[in-house]
Amino acid sequence: MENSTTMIGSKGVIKKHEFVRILIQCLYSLGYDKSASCLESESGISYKSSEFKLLESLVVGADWEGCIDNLYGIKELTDEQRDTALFLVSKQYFVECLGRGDDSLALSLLRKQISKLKVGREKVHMLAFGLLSLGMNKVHDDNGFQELRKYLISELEQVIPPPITVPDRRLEHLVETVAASQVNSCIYHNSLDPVSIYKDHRCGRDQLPTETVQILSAHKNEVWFVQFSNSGNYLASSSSDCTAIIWKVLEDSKLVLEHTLKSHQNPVSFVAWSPDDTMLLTCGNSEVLRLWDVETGTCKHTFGDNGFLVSSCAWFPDSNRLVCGSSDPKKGICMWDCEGNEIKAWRGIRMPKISDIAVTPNGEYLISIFSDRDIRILNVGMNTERVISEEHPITSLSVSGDSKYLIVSLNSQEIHMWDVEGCFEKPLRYKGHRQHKYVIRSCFGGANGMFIASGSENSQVYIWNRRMSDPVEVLSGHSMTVNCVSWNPKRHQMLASASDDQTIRIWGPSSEKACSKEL
Amino acid sequence: MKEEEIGSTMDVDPKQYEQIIINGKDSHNIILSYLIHGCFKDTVESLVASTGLKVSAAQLEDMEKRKGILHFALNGNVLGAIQLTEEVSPDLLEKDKGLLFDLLSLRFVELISSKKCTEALEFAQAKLTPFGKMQDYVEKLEDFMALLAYEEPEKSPVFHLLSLDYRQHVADKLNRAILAHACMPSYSELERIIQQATVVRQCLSGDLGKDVVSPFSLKDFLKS
Repeated sequence: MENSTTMIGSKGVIKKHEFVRILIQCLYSLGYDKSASCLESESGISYKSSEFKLLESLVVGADWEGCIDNLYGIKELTDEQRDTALFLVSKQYFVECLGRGDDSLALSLLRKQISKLKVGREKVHMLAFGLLSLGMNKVHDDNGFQELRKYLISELEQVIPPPITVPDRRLEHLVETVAASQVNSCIYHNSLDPVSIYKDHRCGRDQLPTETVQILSAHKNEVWFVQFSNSGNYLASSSSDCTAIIWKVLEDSKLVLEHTLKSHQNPVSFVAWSPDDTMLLTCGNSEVLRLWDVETGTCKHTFGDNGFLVSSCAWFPDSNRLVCGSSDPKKGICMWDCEGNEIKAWRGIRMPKISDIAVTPNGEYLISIFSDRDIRILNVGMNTERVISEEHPITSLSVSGDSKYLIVSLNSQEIHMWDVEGCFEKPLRYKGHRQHKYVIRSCFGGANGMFIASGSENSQVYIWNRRMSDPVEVLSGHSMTVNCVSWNPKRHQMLASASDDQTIRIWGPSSEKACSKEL
Repeated sequence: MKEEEIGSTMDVDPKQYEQIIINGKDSHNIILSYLIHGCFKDTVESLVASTGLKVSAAQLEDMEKRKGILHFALNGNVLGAIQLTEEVSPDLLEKDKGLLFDLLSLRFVELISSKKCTEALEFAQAKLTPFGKMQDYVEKLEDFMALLAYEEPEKSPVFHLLSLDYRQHVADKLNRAILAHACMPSYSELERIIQQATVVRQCLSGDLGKDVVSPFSLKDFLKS
């Protein structure tokens, strides 16, 4: 028999017999019963404590009075745990009485003992109702009772605390906790794959896009906006050269030009992919809204006219309804379907100019930026809204892929993250980049949206891990202000940036050879 | 309009009431219908004697019977009440399962109140089990069965089932059902008039909106 105060581990804080006991539990839970009982006999440590084995034998032998006395005798139980355990045992006793037809004993048990336990009256009333024996799950025979008693034992195991029992799957839980904690503190962690427990987990910066792998130069003027499609197979970009371009992402992660969308008269400052990626919306500050078919590159519809200038737009998950906000005050927000039929509108004197608009991917919230500084979050289903007022002008709005968070870029050189449902009292702040005068945009990215990327007026791209307010990476390469960034939602190591230097850069991990292919 | 001390500024000037003439016969009939509904047989007989109203022998007999049924229901003899009901209104309880349930569960309550728990359980198992299979009655039945779980049911969460108020409620339901079954009005004219007046005044004060503070109180109105 092991001395129960022997310690193991380099720090001497773990008791050996506890360690062995959870190992035995683990073997049993994995189905290795022979190994488990072998370990029990080799170590002299039993998985089930002697107190529990006693209780178990009382249950199997249906010595209910004995069980009840036993439970009263266990000092480690809190009153709540004791009453819960007593209820479970008494319930089985009650059910067996009814099964044998001994109604009066069952009734007396209910009245004298069970109704006095503090377990919530619905449970007691349920048993009273059971006296009617409505024939559901009626158990008469001993085999049936044995099954129920086994189930009772496992229920008691959940209620009775350690050290008499060991919480379910204890070793798994301990290992998982450590692995999760290592992943959480890993600032470059950018994958959804399971981690190996052979080594302490720590990613290097090669997990993030840090090197230019391609430069796209097809635009003839400043590039103002980029966005990857939802499938990650395409990139859309728009420019002050009044065009938008759709690029295709090939298998080997290289991009090629697919369509150039020409018909706007003014710079195009915003694009939005339909959730099913078959359509693209383009608009600009002094422009109407156009709907393009991605496959053919042709314009399918134009919304609005010179009287209704659209500053930004967003899709609902059905890829049929779209909303756009107007940069004219009072013109408000309009919801259309793809054929151009107006579905709903929010207009009027209380509608100031809208500079940005987004719909959460789950379609539940419509978020818009009003008058530069107000974030309005409208719950579409319940038609309730709340407003967050920022102190500085907002230049971009992005929503996370899980619909839970939003980030806004501010002219005070900070990016603020708020939660959509409204629990945050203060925002999380990210800083380090430069933003004073121009519209600089930011986005979520990486596996699980754990990173934030932003452009900057000092021609660099900044990347933050959401857990920290200082950047983890600063990417150089562009020669002028970087206006917008987009992180590929499916290829988590691909980032695109758009700059006033008329190029788009595609960034990838540093292990790949950085080849700048001019296009 | 003259303002009243209590109630709303919408109160009508009492002098206007005097413009309306009420037929004396109408008043008597209202009282009579109330007495018949409540089975006050002796009072009916003396009212008839002093006013010259007519009441048939059948009506008197019906009142006598209903009086008996309701007395049984309120005073610990639900089984007797059920039996008399079946004589007076045959197949009423067959058709109105809800009423039957109310009466049977009242019998169950009687047994619990007289501390006859084993008998109560047997009665429930024999008579109430069929209702346990019908979705509409399960919740109510759960509440009744819960009475069995407590040694002091009057201190339990379902103590209200033992009260006189509850018995009265079931008795009223039974009374209305018997009247309806005999194609007599199930609400007396007096009750109807009071209900109507209350609803009308509430509507009026509701329309006025925020000016009115207190809802209509019959008691206050009668005192004014």
